[in-house]
Amino acid sequence: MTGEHPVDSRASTSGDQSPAIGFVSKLFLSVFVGDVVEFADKAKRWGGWNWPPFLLVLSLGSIALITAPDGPLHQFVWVYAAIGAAVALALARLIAPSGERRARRWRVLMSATAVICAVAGTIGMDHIAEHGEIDVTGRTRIAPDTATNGSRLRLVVDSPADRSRLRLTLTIRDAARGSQFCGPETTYTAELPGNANTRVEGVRSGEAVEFPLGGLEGEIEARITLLTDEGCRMSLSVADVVLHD
Amino acid sequence: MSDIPESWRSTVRVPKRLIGTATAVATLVSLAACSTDDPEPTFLGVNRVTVAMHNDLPGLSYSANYDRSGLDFLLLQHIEQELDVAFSEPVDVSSGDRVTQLLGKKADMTIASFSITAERMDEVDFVGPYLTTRQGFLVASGTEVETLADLRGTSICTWEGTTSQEALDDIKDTVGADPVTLDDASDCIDELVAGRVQAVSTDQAILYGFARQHEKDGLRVVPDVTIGAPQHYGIGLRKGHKEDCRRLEAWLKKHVGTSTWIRDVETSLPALTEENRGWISSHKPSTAAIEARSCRDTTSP
Repeated sequence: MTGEHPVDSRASTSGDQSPAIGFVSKLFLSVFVGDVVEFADKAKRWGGWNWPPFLLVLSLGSIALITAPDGPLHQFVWVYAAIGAAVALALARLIAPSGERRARRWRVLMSATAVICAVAGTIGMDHIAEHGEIDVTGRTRIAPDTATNGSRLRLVVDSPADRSRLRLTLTIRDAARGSQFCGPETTYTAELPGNANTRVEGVRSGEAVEFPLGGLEGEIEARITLLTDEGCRMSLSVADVVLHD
Repeated sequence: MSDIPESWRSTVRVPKRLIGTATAVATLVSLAACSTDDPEPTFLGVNRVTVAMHNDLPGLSYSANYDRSGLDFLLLQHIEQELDVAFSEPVDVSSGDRVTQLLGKKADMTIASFSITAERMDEVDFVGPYLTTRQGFLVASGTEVETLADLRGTSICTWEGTTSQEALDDIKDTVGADPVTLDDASDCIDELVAGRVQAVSTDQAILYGFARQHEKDGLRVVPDVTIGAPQHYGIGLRKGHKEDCRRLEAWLKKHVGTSTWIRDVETSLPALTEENRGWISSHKPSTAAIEARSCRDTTSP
């Protein structure tokens, strides 16, 4: 291809300052993508079969990222890892030099792995969208925020029960910090109204409790009863509330 | 007496003297070596620990004619026996200066009916509790006070730098009593004896000590009337000595479980133990309570 018409990088520019512009462009490309001529030579050797897997991986990755739901970051880690690995492998396959037969087998394996990772990432993202955790901490309120021994508090999650379970973590602190330290003896019981089976007792500050939400419609409500030493004033706040399956 | 010739005896005596002298010199040398090689034992970063204590709380920490007594002082004596370190004479501290005296390094340890609170835990480490008590009321003889409602419209005295002020401020609204805050405990007791206030309110352990001291004035603690949260007395330490703190905590957990602890409370606060048959269950801290409050950097679980 290059035998009859040697590549002249200056030929593609025109005007008074064209050699300078061509030089700057080459310099820029050589810094960021390597030598432009070498890059162009490599691109010419890319086989047509390299592109479909790469585009497929790119499409699946894009779909997965676009359809990503809100939720705690930890549940997305493996999905992002799969998509990242798929794109990296597909790209490596694309720019790897074609050559001997043995290397060709590796390239096929890389393409297959990239596609499998991309499909797994997309399916994983879909699964998370359907069954993943939903962080509803910001949509949860508890009242009153200060309580004494035996106080009953109402916790409301302003969100539909889109999952089958609720995980709740409350923080309890001393309200009268200057005159007491009652935290170690303070616990609470929690239950969903009208469902005594959901009652959980002896929960401490920072401990997570689980409630089954089967069949619940509308906003989620829980009743909290504080148990502490007589005379202690405690402050309750929502630390973490998550809907999950 | 002996068959040994006189000339022989003299030859034998000389080496004995030499051996004696040599032994004495060797002992001195080894003692000197010990004093230079072995570092003096330290605790809380010092080789002589200074303890801050109250001097005006009978039954807990009282000083009269340089003679100290009370539960806090007995606790200090047990700690001195337990730790292989020298202690200075205790220094006096007022309720309001307990944290600043520790932070200002004027004392290394505070044993002064020092309630463990979330706020104080931010600044100092505690080992404890070694006693749990509640805020009650001391009234004069002939005063008809049996319930909290009976204190309506009265003046109730407490002193600065204690945890009692906050709970007393609360009953201002609920009971309609008038809280009066003075400089120290003796001021409040004087006011009560003089009839200028109708009650003194602080920890019952302290009030029972005053009731005993002022038996002739007819002062009495109102039984079963308490306000506020339980007060857990701890030993205050400057932060940054976690290992020593843990060592003291381990000892305290054992000590509170012994008959010595019971005997110390009975000896120091007889009015409290005589009037409350079940005083051990209400005043003795559990091991879990000590573990939950000792040597903590944060009040979070």
